[in-house]
Amino acid sequence: MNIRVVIQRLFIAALVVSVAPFAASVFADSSTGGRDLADDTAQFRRDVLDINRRLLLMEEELLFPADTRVAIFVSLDVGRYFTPDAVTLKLGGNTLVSHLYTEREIRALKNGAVQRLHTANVRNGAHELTAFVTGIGPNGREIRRAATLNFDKASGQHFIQLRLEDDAAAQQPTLTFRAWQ
Amino acid sequence: MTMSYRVSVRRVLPLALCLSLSLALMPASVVDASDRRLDRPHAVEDPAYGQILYEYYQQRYFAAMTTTHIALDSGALPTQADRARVLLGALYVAYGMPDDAQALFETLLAEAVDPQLAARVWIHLAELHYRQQRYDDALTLLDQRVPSVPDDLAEQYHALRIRVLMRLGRFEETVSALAHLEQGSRLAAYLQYNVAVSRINAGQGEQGTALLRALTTLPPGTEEVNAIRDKSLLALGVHYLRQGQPEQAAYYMSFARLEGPYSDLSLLLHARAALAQEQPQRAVGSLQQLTRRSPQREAVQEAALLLPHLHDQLGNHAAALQGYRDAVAAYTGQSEYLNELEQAIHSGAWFAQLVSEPQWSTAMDPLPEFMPNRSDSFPTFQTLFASDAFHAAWQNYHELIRQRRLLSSWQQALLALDSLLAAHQRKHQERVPEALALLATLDAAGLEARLADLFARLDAAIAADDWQVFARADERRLLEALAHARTLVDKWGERVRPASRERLAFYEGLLAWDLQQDIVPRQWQQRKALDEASALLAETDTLRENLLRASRDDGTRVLGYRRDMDRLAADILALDQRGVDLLARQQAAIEGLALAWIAESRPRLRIMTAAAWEAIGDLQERAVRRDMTGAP
Repeated sequence: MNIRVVIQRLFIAALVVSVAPFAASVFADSSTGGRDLADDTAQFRRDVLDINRRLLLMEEELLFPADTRVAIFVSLDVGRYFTPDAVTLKLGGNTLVSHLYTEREIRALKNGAVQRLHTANVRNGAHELTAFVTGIGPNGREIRRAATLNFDKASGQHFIQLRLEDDAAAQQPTLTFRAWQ
Repeated sequence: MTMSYRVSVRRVLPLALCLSLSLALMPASVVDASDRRLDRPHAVEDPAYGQILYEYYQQRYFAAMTTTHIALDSGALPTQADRARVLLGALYVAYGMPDDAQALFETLLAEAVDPQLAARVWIHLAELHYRQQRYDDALTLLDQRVPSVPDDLAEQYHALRIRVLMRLGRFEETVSALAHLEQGSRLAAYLQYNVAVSRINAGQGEQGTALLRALTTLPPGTEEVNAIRDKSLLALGVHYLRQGQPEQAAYYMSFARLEGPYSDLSLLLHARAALAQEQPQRAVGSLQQLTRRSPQREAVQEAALLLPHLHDQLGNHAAALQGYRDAVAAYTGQSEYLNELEQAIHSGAWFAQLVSEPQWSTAMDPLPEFMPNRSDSFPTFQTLFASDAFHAAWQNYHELIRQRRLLSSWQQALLALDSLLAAHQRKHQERVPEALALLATLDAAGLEARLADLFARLDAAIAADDWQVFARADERRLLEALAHARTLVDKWGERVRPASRERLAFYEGLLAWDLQQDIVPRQWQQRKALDEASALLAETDTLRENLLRASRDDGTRVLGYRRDMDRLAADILALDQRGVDLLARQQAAIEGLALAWIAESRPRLRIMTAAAWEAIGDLQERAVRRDMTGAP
């Protein structure tokens, strides 16, 4: 083929600009390799999800029977005056859990999500739960706060919420506990 | 123009970013949770719903889906189940489970959810229609079913509407739709680019170029923004060359960066524009720059043919001849390289190098970014790597790896649960005999019979008006002492002084009076004590029943867990096998794409090789003629 013709043909090929590729999804639903593969993959994901659900349910039932289960949740209301770094929970003086927050977790909390900080087996009766929270307040100042909750654990599962709230007037965070059932 | 020949990380990174950008853009509300939220405002009422959001906002979508399933199954969402289901549907869409999403959305709509929630469902359903290329249906839903767009979904709604309008060729309407997006955002920029190119391709060059020109004025910023700017300059260059306006094309190409994923094409277009302006000298520089790059690249291959052609035109026949020979050598080398690549693809070596070892900190993290610089063949497959088809397959492959990792971690978790269950079982086996022994001791004590006897004696004493029965310990001692004294008095008869006899009678009467005067409270006290004992005994009975049931049922429960666990272990194993099979199929699909790409490249290479040889022949023929004629 003549060199001019080839060069001209290549030139025309170069003059095609396509629309930027937009993937259909984070996990593309139309898989290369045919519809069968896409269908099989979707079914596989469905089954993996189901297995995960069954496993988590069994794990929870075995580790934390409903009668003794106490779950402690953390929420951050607004978070304008406070960004938590770490939280420590103590039950009757014994440390239940210490948690260091990642940036993603903070972002999730600031968006209104609720963290299930800890699940424990607790006997019925009176208990004292204490939370120690450290973090950064206005002007990068380190802030430490603590709160205590005295509660009676009755039969059945018990949910407790630890709320980190903004006190706009004082430009300070406040910690409050509340039963959440 | 200076640039290293080898593929540097700086050149690869923008492409990788650009590739990932396309993923990051569309399901914006799902991927970029920091900016947009699917369910804002969303006062959390149910802890389980807050927990779902916690996973979701950390982009742990798989965990979010599982948490939602568990929460829905266990009734942990008494007030926010519908919201959680909408979120689940959106996650299904993003996770490549469109059938599940559609079924869920249809169920939700059939259940007459509240209008605000329904609007969300319609938007997600429209997204699903768009992915299924049902553009008319998608637009109908967006325009007719969503009377007011929820604030937090506004960006997603308008972006989707723009894409749909673009697909339908209703470009005029995209102008007003684009105005709804935040100007300068990467999403707006990408959509504007796509609308611009679509308009140009649809013959609306003026409107398209106006949009592109606006994008070229974006200030330099992130690699994503720079890539959009480069693409816009490129699109303008192509358009003006097509329109026969090489001056305009050259103008825009002069702003293009010599780095980044589009620099090859920019250089080529720059040379083309110079040629079209009949300024071959200006084209030489760009082409020389280009031919120093990897011959795997299509633009470089083209430049290899174009440069000697240019030398020929400029009368530099020696350089032209050498250039064509170099081109033939490069094409031959590339052809041989394609053969090697084919072999490497068939043997799996190519794929192994491409995939390497995916890095995750945890199995729940987002998928790792595509790192094409792992592969020596990156320049050959650059365009393929940037394609939607490749990305879909690549994402699916890594999602499968992630899920196999999850399955493997669950196998370990099952082992731990198994140990826990075994310990529970051992404890149970130890405790049951102890419990049964305790029950036997209780039975032997005959507590119920003894209590019944006590009640009977109480009743008898009351009936017989036997007040002595109700004497306290000290009174009982006094009664015994008086009885003893009475025995002695009776024994000694007349020898006892009358005064002593009278004193004894007095004391007897006094004690009897003392006991009888509060006989009723004493009887009540006694009955109360027996009633309390009776209640305690009833509690003991309950405890006994509990103990018996625990010794019996716990064994059954443990056996049930054991059965569930065995079933789970078997299911995980079977699923893992399916995962292995799917991974192999997905790998084959990716390799198939690469092989198809090679197959498509070969004719092009053959044509260029033949053209180069023909040009060499032509040059040599002309040289012979010149020799014969003595012409210079």
